[in-house]
Amino acid sequence: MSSTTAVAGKNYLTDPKGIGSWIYTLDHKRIGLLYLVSVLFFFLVGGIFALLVRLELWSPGQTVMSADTYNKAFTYHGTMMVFMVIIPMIPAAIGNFVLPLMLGAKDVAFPRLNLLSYYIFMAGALLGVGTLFFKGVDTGWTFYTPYSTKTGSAAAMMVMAAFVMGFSSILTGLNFITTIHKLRAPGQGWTKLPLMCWALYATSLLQLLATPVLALTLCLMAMERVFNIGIFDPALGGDPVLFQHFFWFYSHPAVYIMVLPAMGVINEVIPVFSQKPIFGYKAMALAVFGIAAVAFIVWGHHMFTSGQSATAGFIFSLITMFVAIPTGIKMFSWLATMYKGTLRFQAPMLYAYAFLFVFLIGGLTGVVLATMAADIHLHDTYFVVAHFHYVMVGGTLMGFMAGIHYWWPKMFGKMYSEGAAKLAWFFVFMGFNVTFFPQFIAGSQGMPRRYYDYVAEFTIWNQVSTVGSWMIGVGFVISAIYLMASLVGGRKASDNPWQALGLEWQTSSPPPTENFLVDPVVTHGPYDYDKVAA
Amino acid sequence: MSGGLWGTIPIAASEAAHAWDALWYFLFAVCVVFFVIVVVPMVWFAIAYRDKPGRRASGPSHNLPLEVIWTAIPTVIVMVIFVWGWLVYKKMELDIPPDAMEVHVVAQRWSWSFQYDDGRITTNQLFVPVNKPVKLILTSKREDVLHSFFVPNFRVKKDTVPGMYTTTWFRAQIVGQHQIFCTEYCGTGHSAMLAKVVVLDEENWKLWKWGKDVELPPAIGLGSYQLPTTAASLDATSTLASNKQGTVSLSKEGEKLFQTRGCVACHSGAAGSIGPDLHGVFGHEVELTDGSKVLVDENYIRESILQPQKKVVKGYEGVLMPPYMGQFTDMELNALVSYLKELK
Amino acid sequence: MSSPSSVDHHGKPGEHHFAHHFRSALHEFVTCKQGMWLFLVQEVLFFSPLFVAYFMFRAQYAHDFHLGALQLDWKMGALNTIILLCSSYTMARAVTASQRGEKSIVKYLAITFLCAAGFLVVKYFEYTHKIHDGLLPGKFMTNPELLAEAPKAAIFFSLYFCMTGLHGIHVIGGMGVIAWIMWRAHKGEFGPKYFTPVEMTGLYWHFVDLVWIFLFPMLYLVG
Repeated sequence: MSSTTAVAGKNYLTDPKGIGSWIYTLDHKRIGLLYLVSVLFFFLVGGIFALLVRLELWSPGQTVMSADTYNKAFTYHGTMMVFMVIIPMIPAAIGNFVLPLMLGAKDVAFPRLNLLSYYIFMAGALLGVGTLFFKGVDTGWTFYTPYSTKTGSAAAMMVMAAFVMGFSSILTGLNFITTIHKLRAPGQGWTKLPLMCWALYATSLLQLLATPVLALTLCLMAMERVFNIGIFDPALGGDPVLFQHFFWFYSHPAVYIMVLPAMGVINEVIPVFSQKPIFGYKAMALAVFGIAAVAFIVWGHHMFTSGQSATAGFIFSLITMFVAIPTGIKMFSWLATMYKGTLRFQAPMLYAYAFLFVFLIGGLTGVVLATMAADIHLHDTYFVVAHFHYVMVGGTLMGFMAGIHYWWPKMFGKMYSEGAAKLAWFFVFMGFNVTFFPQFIAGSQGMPRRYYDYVAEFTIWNQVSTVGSWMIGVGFVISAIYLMASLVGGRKASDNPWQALGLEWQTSSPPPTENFLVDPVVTHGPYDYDKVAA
Repeated sequence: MSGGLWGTIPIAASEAAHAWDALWYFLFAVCVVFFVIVVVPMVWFAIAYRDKPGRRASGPSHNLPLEVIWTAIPTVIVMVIFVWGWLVYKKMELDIPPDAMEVHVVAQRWSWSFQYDDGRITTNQLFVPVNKPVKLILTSKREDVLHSFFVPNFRVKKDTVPGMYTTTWFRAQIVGQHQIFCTEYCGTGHSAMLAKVVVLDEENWKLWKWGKDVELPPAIGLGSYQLPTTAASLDATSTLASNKQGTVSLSKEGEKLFQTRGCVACHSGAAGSIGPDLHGVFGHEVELTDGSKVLVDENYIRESILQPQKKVVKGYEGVLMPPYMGQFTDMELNALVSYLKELK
Repeated sequence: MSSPSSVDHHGKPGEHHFAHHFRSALHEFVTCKQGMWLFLVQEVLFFSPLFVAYFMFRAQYAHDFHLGALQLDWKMGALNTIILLCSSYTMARAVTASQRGEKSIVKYLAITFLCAAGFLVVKYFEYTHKIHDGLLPGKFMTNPELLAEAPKAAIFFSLYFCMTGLHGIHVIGGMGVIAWIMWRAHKGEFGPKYFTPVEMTGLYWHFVDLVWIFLFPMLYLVG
């Protein structure tokens, strides 16, 4: 099954050739790359908005832009990063590439639907970016009514963009679930499924079940704006808090749509770079589903101060506490996996370490925020901003960076410069903490989020945070340079540079269009490092 | 005196804030412990188990007792956190002392109005006495958007929703001016929607109640702010322009509206009245046409004025009270609510 | 087999080339079927906020919703229910016919298509009637009697138009798909070895029918 039989030069990147063969491609690997390029482009734009927001917050009062411009800047930062970057980043980009490879399949279950999902995503994304040319949007990414139905901006267009992108997410989820069920290689029973696939499965379930609710809710909000249907408008007898319920019914699970795949990546990276079986495989797989299941019934913890009843708050707070249990199990199991392993600190492992550190802080502060009384003071302050950046950026982005460095040789058949990667890692990891840790302090001191201006006491924390944002920027610029350089002049990657056991490493780098020249048969578990020499 | 944990939280200037702070210290300790439990092994493993030629990985791939332990212990800890959090929440939000002074808060883009029981209205300054419980009844103007009333020094936060009353309370303990923020995004002036809670000592409070001018107490900062130990320098020049407004108490104003806007025609309570007698209904449960019960609180009164057909009291099925939606301002509604509360 | 552009071919009945990443035609069929079921699960959740909003506001504004519902013509609704039930029956017959390779599939699909069209015609008359009477969503409600007696009926009609409108869009989408598979059936593409698209369309159509079975009593009868 070794891929040395692969015909030299014949791989999915080079065969077939021509622009058309990419635009109309049904190959999951190429679609994955299309997503990757698009997502990274939006990441760049969203990142520029982030830098602008941080620059404006350098000092109290007006620094570089007006309040209205600032409101738009943070809205675009949030909307683009959530809907166009973090949600599709790991499942659609990396997941599309690796899922069929990890299953030993030739493609996802529905290749055409997969391509359609990509174009739906792009249509939605362009619609979203297009709002910039129609006065922009200033609602924040949460689109809370009645502000969003009253403000004179292109909010309806933006929610339609999110609506359209939602369908891409739903269809990708549907595709992945079916793929995992039906296209596993012979011998790959449920207990031999890599944990990345389990994570993508749970993510897909969330995408499939939660996104439609958001889609319709956003539809209703757009109707409200255009036709004044009154469902969310208190002046017509509607209920603005109902919007929050619907919104968070999606957007809380959405947080796990973002972070579960990152956990999946870490599940792959840590055993490989410890050369040890993953600790507690079954508990790990169950924990992912535990988190996914609980995710659906905790949305009200975003609304402790909204005027929802104390009883509702009681229940939501209680259930939210249980998110900590499976998350803790995963955290400890990762540690136990590394215990007495042979740890190699190449770029993917460094990012896995960064993930553990950052996600730990994000998770612990999550418990703080789930505590009803604590949340009264912290709700909608920078503490919350810091918390969700620790979870979403710290979790998802570090997971993504781990994943992209791990599978890069497989994707492109090239190795990047390990030294440059370590340097970039330093800037990203340090910059991240320098940016967001001070926000915990500003937040607990009482600085509300989405503030254009702030009282002088918060200046120091904001300035440290802004310096941190520049460090992150530098880190990503370095990453972009050495990754692109590797495509041109990088050393050729071997088929299995990390001595990994996953099926995706048993084909050539980059893989042929058909993925495997000989249909693989699975004879051992994905983490049997104690039994099989990779 | 400054805020706890090296000034990372604001000064605790209300009764509930002390309970909140105790919870906060506990949460902080739990976070630090778990942080150490995870990060120390991370660093240790990185040093001890680095890949070296000749070293082979060993170590377990599962260990049931260990897994049970790290499932059970966090479960217990989060349950403790939950219960403690609930108890403090109850104190902060639900256990409103019955003798609390009531103030209506009306938020609009981008200012705060405060309506007192004596009919006075102030803007962007909420005057309260020290060491007395104050209950806030909050709403946004009907055509406005969501806002949120936040006083970091009191650990008080509550959203204001158009068309709905929300409530919270505090007992201020430090004389001075405390910062009020809006914490629900509301557009251009969101970060400029600032106000102050002016906590007056007993003497000044009496003066203020009598309609005299009072000198504003010092501003109390946030975060690492140090409370001065000596008698603070006063903002001697600012006096209260709004202070002479109050002529009619809030409930009296409500009574006037009740008489002049026609409510009394059906709700006088005299024999043969068309509508239900409203004397003494506040705070009690009434039975509705569908047999369910509803507590007569601020929200129910407001709703019944604006949308009378929503919850009709049993026995008044056929009576069609016209809806008053759009006919009272939010301030007038507050006055009516205040009057009906006192109608014994 | 090796180029991705060769993903699934459709030949004459019995000659179906399943897509390259499946092991057999049966494997492809069961995979598609699972995908379709997942799609329908997604559809249920897509409709769910409307149902939640309906029940929530109905509980709040029982009186207004009652008066609002009285404005709907239950006879028209019942007629449409019968039409859709018939179409579900003919759809089921079409699926059976395709599995057996019978020519009658085109006929059954045509009847289904006509039923769907009939449903829309009835809906068109209902809608124009409502618009004429000023029974419109939210702010556009102009019906004087309801405005006086039940102002919140405006929310009832918001939900009525949103729910039946969304359902109507699903009917129109279904008609498009039915027309497409009718064309393919006419060309003789389906038979005992390949009837996946017909079966999938059938599942979808039964779902559309089922949504109406819920909407009809909720909007026309219970109120």
